[in-house]
Amino acid sequence: MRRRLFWIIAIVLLGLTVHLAYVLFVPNMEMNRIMSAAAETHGSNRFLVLDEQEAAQVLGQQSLAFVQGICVLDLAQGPVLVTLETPASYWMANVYSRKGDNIYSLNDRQVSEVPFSIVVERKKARLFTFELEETAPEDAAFRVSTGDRSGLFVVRVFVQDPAYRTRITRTLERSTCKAQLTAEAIQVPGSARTP
Amino acid sequence: MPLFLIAGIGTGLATASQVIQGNVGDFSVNNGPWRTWPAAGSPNIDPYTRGHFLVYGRLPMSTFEAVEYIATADSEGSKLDPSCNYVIQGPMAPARWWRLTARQNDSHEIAPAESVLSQTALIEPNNHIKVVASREPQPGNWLRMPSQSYLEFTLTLFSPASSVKSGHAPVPLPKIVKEACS
Repeated sequence: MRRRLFWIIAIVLLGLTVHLAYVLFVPNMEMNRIMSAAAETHGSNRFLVLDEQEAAQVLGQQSLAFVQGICVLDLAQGPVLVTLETPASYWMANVYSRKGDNIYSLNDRQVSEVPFSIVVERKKARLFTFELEETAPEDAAFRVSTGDRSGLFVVRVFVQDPAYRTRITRTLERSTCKAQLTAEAIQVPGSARTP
Repeated sequence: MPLFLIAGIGTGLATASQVIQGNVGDFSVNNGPWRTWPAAGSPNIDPYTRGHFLVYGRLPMSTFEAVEYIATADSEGSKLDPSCNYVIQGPMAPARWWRLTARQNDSHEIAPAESVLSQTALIEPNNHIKVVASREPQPGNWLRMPSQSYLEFTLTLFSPASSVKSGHAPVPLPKIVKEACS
């Protein structure tokens, strides 16, 4: 009887461990896969408009109703400036954390002028450090702070008519995503000034 | 020992899968045959809702942008059968636009005919819709069904009205009625 009880408890504990591991780690692994798939092909801090096949591979869903653009955010060197050129259509932009959480959303009704900029920056942990304030990044309409070193920017533009797809893609391709090097990152130790 | 491992791992994966799919627990909300995850895309997203989207490689959109309803059964509670025709009929929740798709669970691709979009759909008075889902072309709003053994309908409301955004309120959604089967 005791032996049977022991195995039942052991199975329950193993089941609980597997359950938690699956729920907590598999989504993170999948988000890492999404970001790696995009970064390996096109690099970080680069804006990319996905074709239909890439959208299925990277974002896991292909929809002819959207033109989708992404930028893998690498915030290790400093803030990243996303400048969006969006067509006059319904669109939505999202910033996802490294865990896949949607930490910022924006749509066409919140923006009066295009192109416009979004700065994504990393929250500074200032505890026990005494740092000078860094130069504020280029002025931007919207500012997003995250605790992660990396993330994913996704913009989806609704295609009202398939005939507009090429035009929407071309407009969206004018968007940019680039790292804004902070003064700290630009400074090269030991570099000499030339007269 | 192998039996212990199989039973433990199997139990863990099965229970995780059931909660992630919304069959167990309070992480999803049912509205007739439709099921939604109210915490999707919110900063306070729970691990099961996150898993529901990311395990299948999909990024959750905030309810501010879109609310997604998934149906794997008809309004009578019978599992959707791709060999049958279905009529999706009734009121549509207020949103800027919507998309209704018929998809296989493992499919990343949505072919044009496998979705009906609000801007091209025939809308009846009082914002009611009638969509016929079948493998053969149908008059009116036709939703082509995939030729696989698994089927689910996904209704996505983009930029929904504030009454829809919480995901908890009983918003008006169309019924799914089974018709003839081949």
